[in-house]
Amino acid sequence: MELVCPAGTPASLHAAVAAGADVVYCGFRDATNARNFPGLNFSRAELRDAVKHAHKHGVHVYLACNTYPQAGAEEIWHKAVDDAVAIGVDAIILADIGLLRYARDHHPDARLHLSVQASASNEEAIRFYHQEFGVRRVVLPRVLSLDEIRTLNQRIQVETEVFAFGGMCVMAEGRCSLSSYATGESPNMNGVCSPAAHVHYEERGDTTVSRLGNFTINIYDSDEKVGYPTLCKGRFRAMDKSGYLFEEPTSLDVTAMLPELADAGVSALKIEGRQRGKAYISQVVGAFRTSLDRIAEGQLNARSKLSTLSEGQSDTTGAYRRSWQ
Amino acid sequence: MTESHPSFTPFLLANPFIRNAPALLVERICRHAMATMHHRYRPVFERVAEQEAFALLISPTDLDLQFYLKIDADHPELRPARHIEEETVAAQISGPLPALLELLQGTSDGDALFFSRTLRIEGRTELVVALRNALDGESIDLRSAVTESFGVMGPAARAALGLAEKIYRQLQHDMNRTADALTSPTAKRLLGVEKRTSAQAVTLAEIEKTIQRRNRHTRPKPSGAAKDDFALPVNP
Repeated sequence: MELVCPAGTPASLHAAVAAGADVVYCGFRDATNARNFPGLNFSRAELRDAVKHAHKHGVHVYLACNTYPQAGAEEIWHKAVDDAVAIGVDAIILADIGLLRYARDHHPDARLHLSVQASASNEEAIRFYHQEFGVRRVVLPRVLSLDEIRTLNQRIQVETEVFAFGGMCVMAEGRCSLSSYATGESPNMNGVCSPAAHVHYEERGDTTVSRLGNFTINIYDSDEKVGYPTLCKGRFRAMDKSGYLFEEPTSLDVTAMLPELADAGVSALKIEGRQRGKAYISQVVGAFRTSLDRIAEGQLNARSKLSTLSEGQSDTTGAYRRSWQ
Repeated sequence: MTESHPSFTPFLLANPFIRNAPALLVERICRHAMATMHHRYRPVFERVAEQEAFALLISPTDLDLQFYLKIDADHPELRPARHIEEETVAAQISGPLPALLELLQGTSDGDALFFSRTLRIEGRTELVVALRNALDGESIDLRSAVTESFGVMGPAARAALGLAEKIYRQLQHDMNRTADALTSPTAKRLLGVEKRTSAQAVTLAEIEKTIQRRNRHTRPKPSGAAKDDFALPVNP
């Protein structure tokens, strides 16, 4: 399985390459990608140098252009696709059907991958993207069980890439409006979930209060681990009980089930976290590289030691081993 | 903005010296450090202060000293902070000095430090995020920066720094053992209390279930035809 790793800065890309990534994915410094955070991402010149560096080490680079173009501003997204092709990235990760069509028409030789933001989770949807736009790989949303992924892989003609490590999403990827509701900005349109300008932390005695816009997301006791300030991971009170109504602050980690994912026909493993530092990239990519190499050598008992890097410092296998319907 | 609890690191032992050090000397060291950083890593300042210059309060939780850090493309500033400056800074970053230094050099992940509550942030989060990302985008090497700033005395400074790091690691080891010796009896006692509390919670849950079962058996059966429990009484 191909190891697809994140990079929010050129330094992170170098770290990913050094740690054993097969592919590094990144985005331009604007709203065309779903990690549009302050000080993050690549200028055109930086991406050109990054591609040169990665290719020199036999590593591929994918460009995420996976937000939905805003009406009247499509030019920014079209230019991102054009520039990515001109720079020589190995694949472009897209979600919007208009943009997929633009890429197909203007760059018929470009390798197109379907972003998780498109939320294509069934055979018919994936077949549509393949037939209409020539999509060659689909990044599956984090809603499918291992058995469903296996069945899907037997029925579709394109490669599948699944999330292997990192932050979880509330399983309506590309369709979530919680951030937009709270702040006016969303991952789908603006490339940012819970933009930092709307996030506020307050130390109140021994507790930490996190807020997004006018919403209190959580109040952490001194001994509790903290998660990202997103509404989906907020702790709310309902029917006299407080708890994580949508999703707990936890990270995905599939280290223990890598052989099963390979057996299910998965082509690539994606590590989430373009917003994370190069220390995270080095450790997570290095750990997955080691695990994959051990599995390739026939040792099937890969164990994770990455919990300190996880959101809320806890991990889950998410829907892959889901016990709910 | 609030005060954090002190972190148990070897830098705590430096506090008597810091408290009694001449203010001018501390200011001079800060100024020199900032000039060196600005000279070596100018793109960081340009990238972060692209939109606006701003100031942060850096609060090492193991030092009796806070730092005023002004991020400006051309005229950055680092100096000991005065109390009144809490009002004028855009944000405050608190944490043990070793963690702050690791963050500066990109050897620790900022989000992980934040998840574990090692690092705390208050104020304008977007500026702190921008600074973190810009720092992480550079390969900052404090050891080289310090030794090079000593010019011809560089080799001597490198040797001194190496010795200081060795002593620091030994101190850290000894302090961890001391902390363990001091806290382990209480930790054991707490564990015992926790086990007893869990056992009592299980017993209590069983008692509640028994009471519920008994109540179901003793409840009088409804008489007459079946009726809607939720129907409102009809006024005659």
